[in-house]
Formats: sequence, C-alpha cells, structure tokens
Amino acid sequence: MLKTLVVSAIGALFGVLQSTLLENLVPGGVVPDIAMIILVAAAWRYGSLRGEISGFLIGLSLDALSLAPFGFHALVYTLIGYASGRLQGTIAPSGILPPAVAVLVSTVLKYAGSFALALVFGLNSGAVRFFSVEAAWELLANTVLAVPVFFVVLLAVEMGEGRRGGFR
Amino acid sequence: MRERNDEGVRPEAVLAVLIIVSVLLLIFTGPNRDTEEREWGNRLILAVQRGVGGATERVKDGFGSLRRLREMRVQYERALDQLGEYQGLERDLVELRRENQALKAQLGYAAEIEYETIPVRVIAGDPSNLFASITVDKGTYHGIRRGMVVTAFQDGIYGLLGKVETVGTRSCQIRPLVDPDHYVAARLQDSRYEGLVEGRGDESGDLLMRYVRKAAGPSIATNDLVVTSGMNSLYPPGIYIGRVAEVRSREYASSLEIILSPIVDVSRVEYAFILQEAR
Repeated sequence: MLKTLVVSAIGALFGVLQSTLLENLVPGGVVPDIAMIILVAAAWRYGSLRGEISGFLIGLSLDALSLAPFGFHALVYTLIGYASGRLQGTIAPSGILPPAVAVLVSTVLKYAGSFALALVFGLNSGAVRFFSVEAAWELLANTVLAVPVFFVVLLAVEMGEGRRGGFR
Repeated sequence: MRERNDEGVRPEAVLAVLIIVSVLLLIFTGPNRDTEEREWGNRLILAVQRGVGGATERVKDGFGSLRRLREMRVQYERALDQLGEYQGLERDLVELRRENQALKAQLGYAAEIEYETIPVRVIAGDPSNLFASITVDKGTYHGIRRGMVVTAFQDGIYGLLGKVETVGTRSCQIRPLVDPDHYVAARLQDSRYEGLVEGRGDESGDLLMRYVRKAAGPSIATNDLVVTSGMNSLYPPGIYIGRVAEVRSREYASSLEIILSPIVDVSRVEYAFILQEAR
C-alpha cells in the first residue's frame, strides 16, 4: 500500500511540475509526460494491482490540474498502469529498448484512449489535442526520456528496499 | 488458474472497479462539469500548482535578469533611433486625436466603455498536453469568479484570451478562445457584419467565424479586424478577437466561413487581465 501511495504522490508531483516548471523550460510548451513514465516503470516493477491503483490516483490529480472532466485521465492512466504491470515477470525493465518501447506504446495508448473516451462521452473532438505535431513531439520526448527515468526509478526502488529490507 | 497477487486480490477485479469509478466520474462531472462540484479538489491542487508555479517564476526571473539586462541595452539603442522618428509622428497623432474626437461626437458614439481589470500572471499550462488550459495566480480571494472575461496585451493590442472556467482561492483556470467549446458573438470591425466565433482546437490556433451573411463577402478583406459584438454574450463589445486570414464561401451554404488569426497567441501569454464590472 505504501509503495502505491509513494508512486502516486511522486506521479502527482510530476504532474504539477509538468504544468509549471517544465512548461516554462520546454520550448513550445510541449512537455514530456514524466508522470506517465514513472507510472509505467513502477507498474512494471510492482505489477498490475499497484500499477492500476497508482494510475488511477495520478490520473485524478491530472484531472484536477487540467480542464478535463473528472475521470478522464484517471481511466486512461488506470489502463496504462494495468497494462504496464502485466509486463512484470516477463522482460526485465532495464536496458534501452524495453523501457523505450513500453513508454512509446503507453504514449500511443494514452492518446488512443483519450480519443476513444472523447468519442464515447461526447467531448468536443477539437477540445482534445490528439493527432498533432505536439503529440508527435511528446511521443518522441517520452521515448527518449524513458531510459533515464526508468534508471532513476528502479535505482530509487532498489535503494529504498535495500535500506528498509523491503516495504509494502 | 487466475492470477492473484500476494495479497490475494485479483488485479482484474480492481481494474473493473476503477474503470467503473472513472466512468461514473466522467458521467457525473463531464463533459461540461460544474465548478462547484470540484471546488474541494481544485482548491488543494491549485494551491500546490500555484506554489510550484510561483517558485518557478522566481527562479526564472533570477536567471533571466542578466539576459534581460543585455536585451535592454539593445532595446535602448533601438529606442533612441525610434525616438527621432516618433517626434515627427507625434504631431500627426495630435491632429488625428482631435479629428477622431470630432467624428465620434458627430456620429453620436457613446463614450468608450472601460472596465476595471485584475492583472494576473500565467503560472501553469495543461499537464498532459491533451487539453488547452491556462492557470493564473489569482482566484476568489482577488474577486475572480467563474465566467469572467480574460484579455491579454500582445504586440501592442488588447485582445480576447478566453474566460475563467474554474476558480480556486488564489488561482484559477482559463479556457482559452482556441477551445472549440468556446463561442463568442462577434462582428467585423469595418463592415459591421455579425457572426459567431469559435475555436478550432487544432495546433494552428486559428479561429472560425461562422454565420456571416454572404452579402458581406465583397466587403471583407484579409487582415480586417474582428471584435466582440456584445450581443447575447458575456463578452462586452469592442474587444479584439482576431484578423481575417481566409474567407470561405461554399455554394450550398447560406453563410460565409471566415478563418481568423487570433490577436492573442495563447502559447506566448505571460500576463493577462481579467475584466471586472464596467467603470
């Protein structure tokens, strides 16, 4: 439970940073979704259950930060957390290719899920930016940042578990 | 054998519950969610966002000081050059002002309506790149309420930026004009033909003006200004919206479609002004 809350809190914190600090630092205002990358890394490490709950909580915080209807990001990030968690025990979340591919697929899932939700719930299709240059930039930025973010997340997990002898 | 984790809970069961909760939230709060319903969550999260945004601005200001000093030196040199030019223009301006006042009086124009404004600073954008939203550093504490009109000054002209959508105590979110859920009653400044402006939501940031009578076609030129008409709208009249970029006339349609370049480029806005009551 503690792991889930820590991942959710860090993800939500990065949601805030994405809308403030990174928004100012990145030219054009297209920020990488580091909250999502952290979610994918943590879910891959901890499994589907913790991944989906963390995804739900991170998504709720993003709903509060944006003009999205409540539940929009929560649903999309829940699915991403669950899908990433399914990778636990299959391939190791290390190296270059596995994190990059997982984050690339997750970003595509994020946009595809958002598009589907907008269709189903009657959001104005133009209100959500799906197929745009910004989306392509985010896809690229997320994929490039996947390896370093995975490295930091997994290192933090190892250090935390090593020092405390593991925690739930 | 179905997968269970070491706590004996099936992830699929939790997934189903979370999906149902998310869908219920979506059904009951969106797409046109009510500000009051989410005020409790907004206040906390907007307070955090405001804190981080404010700190970011201070750090940015510090690092930007040296760069601004260099820029100011260049601007000073340029300003000296322009000063000589403007001294000549000033004489023309005085004459134009006098002529303008005389014409206004003759045409019986009402005095220009002016509004009290609340200056705000942009502290955040959308965290996920999916929606167009702007967060600014003032809220209910400063007298801001939902639906208030937001303007910005850019490239020497005041233009419409959007309206206040959700309000926290010390920050609020603005729905910019480029959002397609945004409709503004407008008119062409010169020809006075009316229409309805809406955002297109695409990356170009262009706006679309619909329902303009076909008869207006010959009197519309590229770069003509479009302003708010004030008709059946929360927007007061006379605020600049955009310039005509393209006029589309379809044979089967009974009205024109005009593509507008917005006066205010949302991506470049740092400060904005929220309109209060008329003076």
